[in-house]
Amino acid sequence: MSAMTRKRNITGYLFISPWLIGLACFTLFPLGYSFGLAFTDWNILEPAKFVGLRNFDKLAHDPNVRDSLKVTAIYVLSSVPLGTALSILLALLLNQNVKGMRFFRTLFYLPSVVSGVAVSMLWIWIFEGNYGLLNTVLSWFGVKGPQWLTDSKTALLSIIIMSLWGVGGSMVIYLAGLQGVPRSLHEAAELDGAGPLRRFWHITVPLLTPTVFFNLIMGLIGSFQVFTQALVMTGGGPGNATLFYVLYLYQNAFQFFKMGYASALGWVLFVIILVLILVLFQTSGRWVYYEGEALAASRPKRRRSRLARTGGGEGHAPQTDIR
Amino acid sequence: MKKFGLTLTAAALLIALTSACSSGKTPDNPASSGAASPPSAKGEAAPAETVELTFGFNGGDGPTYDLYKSIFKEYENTHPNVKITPQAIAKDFTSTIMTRIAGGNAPDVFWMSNQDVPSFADRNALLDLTPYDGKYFKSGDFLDNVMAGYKWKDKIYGLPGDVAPIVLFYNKEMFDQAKVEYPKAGMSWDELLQKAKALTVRNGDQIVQYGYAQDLSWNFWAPFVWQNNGDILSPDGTKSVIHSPEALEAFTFIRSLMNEHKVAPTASSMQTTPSYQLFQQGKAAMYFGGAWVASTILRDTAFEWDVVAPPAGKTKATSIALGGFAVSKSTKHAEEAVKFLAWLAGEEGQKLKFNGGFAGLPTLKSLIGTPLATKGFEHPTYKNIHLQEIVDATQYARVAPSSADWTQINTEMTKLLQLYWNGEQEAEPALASVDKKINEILAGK
Repeated sequence: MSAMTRKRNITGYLFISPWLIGLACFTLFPLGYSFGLAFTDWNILEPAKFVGLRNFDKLAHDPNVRDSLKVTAIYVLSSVPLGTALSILLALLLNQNVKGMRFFRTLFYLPSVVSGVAVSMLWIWIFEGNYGLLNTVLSWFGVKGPQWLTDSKTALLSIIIMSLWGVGGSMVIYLAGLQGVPRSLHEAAELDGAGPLRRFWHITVPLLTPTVFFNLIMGLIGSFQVFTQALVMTGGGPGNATLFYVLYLYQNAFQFFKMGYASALGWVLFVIILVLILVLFQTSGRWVYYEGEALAASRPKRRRSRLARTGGGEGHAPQTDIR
Repeated sequence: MKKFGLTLTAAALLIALTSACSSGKTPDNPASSGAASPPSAKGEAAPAETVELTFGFNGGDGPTYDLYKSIFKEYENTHPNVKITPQAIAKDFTSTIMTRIAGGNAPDVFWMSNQDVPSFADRNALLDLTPYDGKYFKSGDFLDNVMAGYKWKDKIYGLPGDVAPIVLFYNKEMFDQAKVEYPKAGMSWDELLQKAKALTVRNGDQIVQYGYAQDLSWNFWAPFVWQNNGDILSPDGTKSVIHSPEALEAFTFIRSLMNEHKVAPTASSMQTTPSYQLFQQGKAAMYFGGAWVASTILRDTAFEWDVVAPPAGKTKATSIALGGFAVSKSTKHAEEAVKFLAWLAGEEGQKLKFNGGFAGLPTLKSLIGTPLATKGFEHPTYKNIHLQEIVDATQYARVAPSSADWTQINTEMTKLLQLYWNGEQEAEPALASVDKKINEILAGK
């Protein structure tokens, strides 16, 4: 290695060092630390006591953990597909050539910029049972709306509905994906006599799958970590109707002084998300298409570069914005 | 030379970041260290060494913080060897203090709510003040029911600084208009209901004026349980006693005001409009709430109001909110810290505080009977408010149940009781589930 290259390398590392140090200080170190804590009983104020697997044993029998996993699963299974469908639909509408499109795009993106707590406060008013916006609108059609947030039967549904407010974030990524669909393919298909629906199904949808894949993964991670809404709007109640997993984790860590137990909860969540993402990656070969691979469809697909190619890092799933 | 410039920039960035990463361990306080440096320049008899005590204050900048700072000045004037450095903690006080204790960086003396005393004391974070009882302060000087809030397992872990009970406020103009007699201290639950009925105004199905309003946190329903001779935890704090006929009756009464008689706002409407707001806006005739609202939101109302000690059932009871101070176990100046704390919570400190208009009542037996007791609650224009009622209620008010797991109990209780308040569950099964949960928590499950 010449002196010149070495010097250049040093400069390079120095430039990325702020990020590297940040990663080490604020991510890797706490990560490793919390793994150790998961096997201790630590109330923050006194030294941690090693308890082996007792936290995990307790967790397996904790009714609140069971309830929170159920609540979180229902939320993920409904808000992720709904959010995906809605943001694709919006992206399609906003991909038309209509006057003032920029204005509409901004308009639909805007909500996902607002902070989670502010949004939650706003939605408390929308969901208010007697004079709230939602029930007022429903009453115009002769429907008597429920007490959305204070009824255990509708509280979780309310938070799912509210999650759709943030679809603007993933919508923008879909919009970029749509704009990346080559016009030439559409034109060629049109010449061959394909109608708009057929072109959508056979050209747009396959070429959009990488974007769907990216958004699905980000959405999944984000939805599992949902927390702000429940903390601000319901506190996990009524009963355990909106006790999200991460809310319970937060309560244990910062309100009940049970940092060891909270760390164990955190690592269980990590494993759950990891397994789901791995499964998703496994199945992706069957439904995610890349333009470059269209010519050699039979060739086994390379997995590693997928996220990077779909523009990873730039976009945020709606839920990750809420914090 | 361009390359060199780049390297330099990168190095500068690196240094900036690493220092940001490691700071916090050394909270540089240029103002304080600068001021503390000339200790005995005047050549007085003061000891050569100046002791610096840090004080963790709950809240940000504002009149209360200024008041505290002026009180500290007073102490510094009479104790030239001590320097008090206030540190305002504006947000998440409890978890901030906890983090700082864990990081070995706790303030020497800090504000502390009585509700946190058991959990902090149980986790060995607070200095046991019992050995200093009689030396720097006398625990017997404080109101007994208030002092109880700063004890844990018969030891003293803090001193109460101020107190405010939950009392009944009422809108005089609404009572005059409806020609209903003003509420009296210790009226029966039935009288409360009758008055609330008489003062509720409906427009078709809509309630335009509630007769009565209260919030549903534990400190607003517990008084009714206590008035009926019930309780939440056993006196030693080891098991739940909430699943009792007494508590059942109390819970049934409170919800009947909301859901059956429809004279009070329901749980769901309170989510957007808390009860104090209803009262402040002139939409509720009576409000069962903390005395502190007298000096805050009720300072400028469009109507004349008054206050009365709470209703009573079989006994007189209400709950109180307490503010006090504790000393960190890790303090390097235990003696000086306790001395300062004793002064601050003692007669001199309290006189300065309540003369300065602090919104609360003193906690000393010697001051509770003086005009100073309600000075902070005095209204600028309405001079006929019966502030003595607040003092009366303070005398028999009770503190939060004593348990190191109180925060968790309260969180779980609140969540489960929502099912009762919203009408999904009846009182009996609701209290049974609360009872079971509390006992699980206390058993460490």
